[in-house]
Amino acid sequence: MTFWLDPYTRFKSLTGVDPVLYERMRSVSTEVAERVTRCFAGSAWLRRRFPARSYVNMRLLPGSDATVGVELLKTKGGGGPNGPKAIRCDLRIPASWLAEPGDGLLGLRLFQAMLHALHAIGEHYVIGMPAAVGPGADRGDPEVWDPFDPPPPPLSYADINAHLERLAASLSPNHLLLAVKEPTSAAVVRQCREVSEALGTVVDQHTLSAPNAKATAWTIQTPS
Amino acid sequence: MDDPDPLVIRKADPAGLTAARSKRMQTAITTVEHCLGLWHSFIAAATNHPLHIAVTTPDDPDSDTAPAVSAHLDTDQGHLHLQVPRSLVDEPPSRLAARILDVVVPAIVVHAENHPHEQPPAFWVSTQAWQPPADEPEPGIRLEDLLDGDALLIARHDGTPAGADSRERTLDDYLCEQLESPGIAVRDGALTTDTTLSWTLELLNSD
Repeated sequence: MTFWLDPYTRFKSLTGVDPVLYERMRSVSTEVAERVTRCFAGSAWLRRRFPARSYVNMRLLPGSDATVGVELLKTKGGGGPNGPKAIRCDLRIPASWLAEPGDGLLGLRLFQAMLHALHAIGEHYVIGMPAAVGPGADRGDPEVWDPFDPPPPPLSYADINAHLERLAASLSPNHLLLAVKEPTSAAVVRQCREVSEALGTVVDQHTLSAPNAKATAWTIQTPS
Repeated sequence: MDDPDPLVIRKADPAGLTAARSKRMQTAITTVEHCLGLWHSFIAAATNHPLHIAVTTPDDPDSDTAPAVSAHLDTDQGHLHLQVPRSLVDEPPSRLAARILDVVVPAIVVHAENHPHEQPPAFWVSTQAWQPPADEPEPGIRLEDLLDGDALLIARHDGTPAGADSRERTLDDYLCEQLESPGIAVRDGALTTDTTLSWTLELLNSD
């Protein structure tokens, strides 16, 4: 998934909207933009007219109007004629959306409003609409986060850290301890072996576990 | 809470379509399903009145206007009927899917506005009281701070400031000579506690 859509929400003072509601719009629009980015092949779409790595910079402006409005602004971008451009637009949305409870409907309305803005950009720059992205094109992108569910508990390394402290306290003066978080890639395993061999000889290996985290450590005996 | 699936798309009726068109149509529908799948939790949070989507492919209308996907929404019954003029099925499926999304998304919004969730959920973060981060991280070894591709190297010292200093200097020289000069790893931050010295090592790719 390539970055091509930036919902620009740093204009709290400009809109005069209640800061709490503005914050709500900000957090919902972040999730919405993430999904719009995945739904459409936006980079390929922009390449029909703009240099590689160009992106849409969408400024969300809640206001008193009851309908969505799009205003295209001048594109911006350094790096010469071939540098990436920011295709800027103002997306005016009814502030009344933000006052209604529930983030589901707000998210869907913002989705529809962003589609509206993509259409306006497509028409103005004569590039049409971006193609939709099917299930085959994910290329191992991480799953989208469900913002309505609690996040997974943070990994707890307290037990592992305590174990490492105990191992460290029992080290001889000519011993070192090398530790990595699990799971490790094959490359990291190989690199750790190189580090150990460069520093001395591995004399012990330790598996450290906590309820939801794991680590491996090696005791290395150095020549001196 | 066991919500029913908020959105069900019935397979497009292949009647009257050539095999090639039927296959393209199915690919487009699969793409639409995939895209809307990303919005599943939003739809479920917006309405608990399920929406069933049916797609048919009638002949192109006899008119001069460009063919377009049309939608007929019966929001009380929870039915959305999409009509995709047959000539549109000749477009690349990813294009057709974008056209379908263009009419489905507004229909879902109207449906949710007509049948709002009785107790519409908010994002998890906004329903929780904000918790201040822990005052000060625990001193000592913190493996959680290690980035992927880094390793932590730990040594013991004799517990005196002078001992820690001298051990650190000796080991710094040793690490420089054994790891940094040959390009195996570089030191990226060091920490001294009452009894230990530790270095974060950035492991370098030797390929």
